[in-house]
Amino acid sequence: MILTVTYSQEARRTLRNTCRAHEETVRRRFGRAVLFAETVFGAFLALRLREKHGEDVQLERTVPFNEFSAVPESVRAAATAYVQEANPHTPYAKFAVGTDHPDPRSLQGREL
Amino acid sequence: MRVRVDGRILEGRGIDVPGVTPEALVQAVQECSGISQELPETDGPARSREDHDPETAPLSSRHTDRPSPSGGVVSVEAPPPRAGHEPLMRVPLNCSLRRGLAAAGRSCGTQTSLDRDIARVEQSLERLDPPNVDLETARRQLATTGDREEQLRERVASLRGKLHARRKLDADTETLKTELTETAAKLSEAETERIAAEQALQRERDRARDARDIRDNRLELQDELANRRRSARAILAKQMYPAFVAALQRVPGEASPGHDPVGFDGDPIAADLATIRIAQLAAPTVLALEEARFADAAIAAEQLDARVLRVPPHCEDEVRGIDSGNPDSATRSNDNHSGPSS
Repeated sequence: MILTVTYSQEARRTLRNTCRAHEETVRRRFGRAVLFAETVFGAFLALRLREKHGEDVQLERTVPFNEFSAVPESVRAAATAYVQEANPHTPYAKFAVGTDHPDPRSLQGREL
Repeated sequence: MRVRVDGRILEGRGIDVPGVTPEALVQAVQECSGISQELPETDGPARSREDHDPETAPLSSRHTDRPSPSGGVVSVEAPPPRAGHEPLMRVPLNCSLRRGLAAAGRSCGTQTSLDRDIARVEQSLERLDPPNVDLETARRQLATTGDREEQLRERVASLRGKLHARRKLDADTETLKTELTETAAKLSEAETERIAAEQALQRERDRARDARDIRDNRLELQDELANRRRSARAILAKQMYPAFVAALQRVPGEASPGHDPVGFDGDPIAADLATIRIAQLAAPTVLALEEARFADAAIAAEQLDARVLRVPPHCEDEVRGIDSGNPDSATRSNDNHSGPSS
């Protein structure tokens, strides 16, 4: 989908009007941001907004997040384990100590 | 106050200006830079500049038979509009009752406890200046180098295929081999360029993110400012309400005002007129009502306690004014019209 984020009152207003006029192309609205359908028309709407408001509009393209291709098993396992086993008030860093789970600092530097 | 239209000059505190659109009058008010001389303003009808009394005639006298410099377009000589005058520039007002009352309150110099906060946020906003980051050039470069690399990659693959086929046929492969080597070199170069373009784009994206942090902050402040201004308007409107209710008694139109702006019910024009009455405006207000509520502009000025430029209802086609030197035709609009239109 095409993520469109606005950074000014005027851009936000235009986005609201655009969404109202083209509901069928809006996948999800978040107020000052929206996910447009990944069609040429969705791109067209996004580009129009940027043409009108310049750098007060940010356009990104999302991809479906497939954790099985993108994320190592150890990380997936760590996420599951943390939610299932940890004390609700324990931060993950503390939980990981003394386990095989990766420590968060090592994960922060790594590209997905 | 003085109005110059079609080569004629009209004077007074309330002036009927036929043959001119309300928009043109509003524009003329916005452009007026002030009175060149203090004029003796009376509550009487607008009269011509035939006053040669040395005590009262302005030093820079103008003759009405000289064509106006703007060739028939209207110009206004009056105190210019102060900041915040905009919502009250024209009746019917083009804003909510609350906004109109707030503007009237501001014109009276009324302040609110939020004003200091509002000024603080305004100042913070002014200091924010998000830099521009040109991502478009970087994106374009990446697309171009990416396309080129892709084309060369295909070319290399195709050449390899041909080479393989030729070898199988035991045919001559020298020229093909050379071409393949050269193309592979170009591909390698293109790949390097594409990677460089990717890195450049990434750097620009990081800079853009920093710039967006500032824009984000700015948007938050803009919203905060709007909220505070809205709250201040509500406070002002409530504060002005008793005076507004009293003023309603003095202007034409029926209304049951209730205790606060939310409770107002009745003639919206009466509300607009009462709002003008309680405001302390220096610049004139343009009165453009569909039906005549006042016998003439002078009376309107008196009842509204303001300088008034009136577009006479249903008189726009008639040329009215004063012929210079003719003391008999005073400008009194609605001479030939009486009472409100049907």
